[in-house]
Amino acid sequence: MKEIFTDLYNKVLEFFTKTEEKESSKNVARNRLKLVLMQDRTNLNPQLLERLRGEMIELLSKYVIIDKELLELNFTPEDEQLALMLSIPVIRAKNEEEIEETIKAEDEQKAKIAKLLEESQNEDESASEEENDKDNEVAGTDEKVEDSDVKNIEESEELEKVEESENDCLEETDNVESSDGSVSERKFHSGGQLKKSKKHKSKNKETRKEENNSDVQDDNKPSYIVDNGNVSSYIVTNEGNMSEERK
Amino acid sequence: MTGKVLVITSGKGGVGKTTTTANIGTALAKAGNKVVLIDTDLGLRNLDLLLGLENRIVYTIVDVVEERCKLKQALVKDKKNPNLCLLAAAQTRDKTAITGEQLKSICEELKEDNDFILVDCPAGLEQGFENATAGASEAIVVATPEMSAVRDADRIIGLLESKEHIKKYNLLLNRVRPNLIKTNDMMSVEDVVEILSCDLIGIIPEDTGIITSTNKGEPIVNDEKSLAGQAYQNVAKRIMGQEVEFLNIDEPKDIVSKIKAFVLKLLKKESK
Repeated sequence: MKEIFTDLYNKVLEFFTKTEEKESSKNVARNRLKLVLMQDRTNLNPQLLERLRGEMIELLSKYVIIDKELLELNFTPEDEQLALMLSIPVIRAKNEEEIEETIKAEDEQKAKIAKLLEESQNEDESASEEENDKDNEVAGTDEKVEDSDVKNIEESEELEKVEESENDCLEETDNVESSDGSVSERKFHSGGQLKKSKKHKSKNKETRKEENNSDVQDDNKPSYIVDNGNVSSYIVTNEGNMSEERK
Repeated sequence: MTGKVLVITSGKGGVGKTTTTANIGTALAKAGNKVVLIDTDLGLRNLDLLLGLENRIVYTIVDVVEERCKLKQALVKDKKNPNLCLLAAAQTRDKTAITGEQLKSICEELKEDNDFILVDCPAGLEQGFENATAGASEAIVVATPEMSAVRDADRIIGLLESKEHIKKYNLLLNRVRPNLIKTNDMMSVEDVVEILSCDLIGIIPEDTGIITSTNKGEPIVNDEKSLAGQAYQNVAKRIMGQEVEFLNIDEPKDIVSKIKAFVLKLLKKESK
C-alpha cells in the first residue's frame, strides 16, 4: 500500500517538475550560434581549414604514425575566443631511423624542387610559372613529387639552353651550392634535437617547434599553435619559403 | 534645426524593419517631433502600406534624385499627424536607381527642418544597404531571437562598425515571445545581447495586433492598450534621450501553468 502511494507521489512530482528538466532548444541554438558567429568573424573558410589539415598531417607524419582518417580539426568556443582544436590519434612514434629517412627524402625533394625553381626563374615565362609552382608546393607532397618529375622531363631540354648563357649559369651553380649546404646543415641540426625529444617526451612540443623554426629559418611566415590538452602540434605555413630561403 | 538621421536595418528580411520604422516614426511624431520616414527599398516598397498612405504617393525618391520634382513635393503627409511625412520608394526601379551620395544629400536637406529622419533599409548587404546607411549617423539593428536573424545582425553590426559616420548603433529585439523563453524554447533577450554584445534600445513582444494594424494601415503605437505599441513608444522615448525602463512583456499565464506554478511553490515550501 505504501509503495503505491510513493509511486503515485513520484508521478505527480514528475508531472509538475517536468518543464524544468526539459532539454532546452534555446541552449542548443545559443551554442550553435556562438560557434557560427566566431567562424563568421574570423573569416576562416572550409578550404583553408582543409589545407591546414593537409599540411598538418604532412608535418605530423614526419615524426609519428597517425591515423589520418580520424584526425580531427575543429573550432570550439573557449571563453570569448575561438580555439582551433586538433585531435590526433597517434598509432606510434617513428623511430630515429624512420625520421631521418623521411627528413632526408623531404630535403632531397626540396632541393630538387628548389633547383628546378631557380632554373625556371631564369626563363622568360618565369614570373607566372613560379607562382604556379608555389601553389603546387603548398597543395601537398604527392603533387610536389609529380610536379617536379613532370617538370624534370619537360624542362630538361630548356635547361640545357639556359645553361649555355654564362651569367645564368654562374648564378645557378651558386644557388645550388648554397642550397646543398643549408640542407646538410639542417639535417645535422634536426637530428641532434630529435635525440633530445626522444629522451624527454614531455618536451616534444618545444623541440618540434625549434625543429620547424630551423626549417623555415628567417622567414617571417605566420604560424599556428594548436593545442588539445596533451596532444599538441605546431605548424608553419611554408608557402613558397623554399625558394625564398635560397635567394 | 539639425535633425538626427537614423537608419533601421537588419540584414535578414522579415524581422520587422518596416514595422519598426513606421511605429517609431509615428511615436516620435506623436511626441511633437517633426519626422520624415524614408523608404529606400526600391522596387519593394511597403512603408506606405503600413502607414496607410499608398494612395497618396505622387512622387518618389527617384523622382527627387532625377529632379522631376522638389524634395518638399515628394513628401507625403500622414493622415493623422501633420508632423509625420513619408518619402516613398519607387516601385518600378531597382536599388541602383539612387546612390549613397544622393541619399546623403537628401538627408542633409531634410535635417534642416526636421527633428528625426528615419531611413528604412532594405534587407541584404548590397547597394541598398550602402545607400540607406550613407546619410545616417545612428543605426537601429532589428533582430528577432532566432539564429538566422541574430547571425545576420552580427554581420550588419560588423559592417556598421566599419563605417565612420555611424556613431552609434543599438539593438532592437523584435517578436520576443516570453512564454517560449520561459520554457527555454527561445533565446532570451540576455542571450542575444550577450552574443551580439550590443546595447539594447527596445524589446518588442510578438503581438497579433501587428497583423491587424498592418491590415488597417495604422501603426500599432496608436493603440494605447497594445503591449507592442507601448514597447515602440518606449523606444521612441529612448531615441529622444529619455531613460525608460524596459517594459514587462510577460504574457498572462494559462490555467495549467498557473496551477503548476502554484504547486511548485508549495513543494518548495515543503522541502524547506
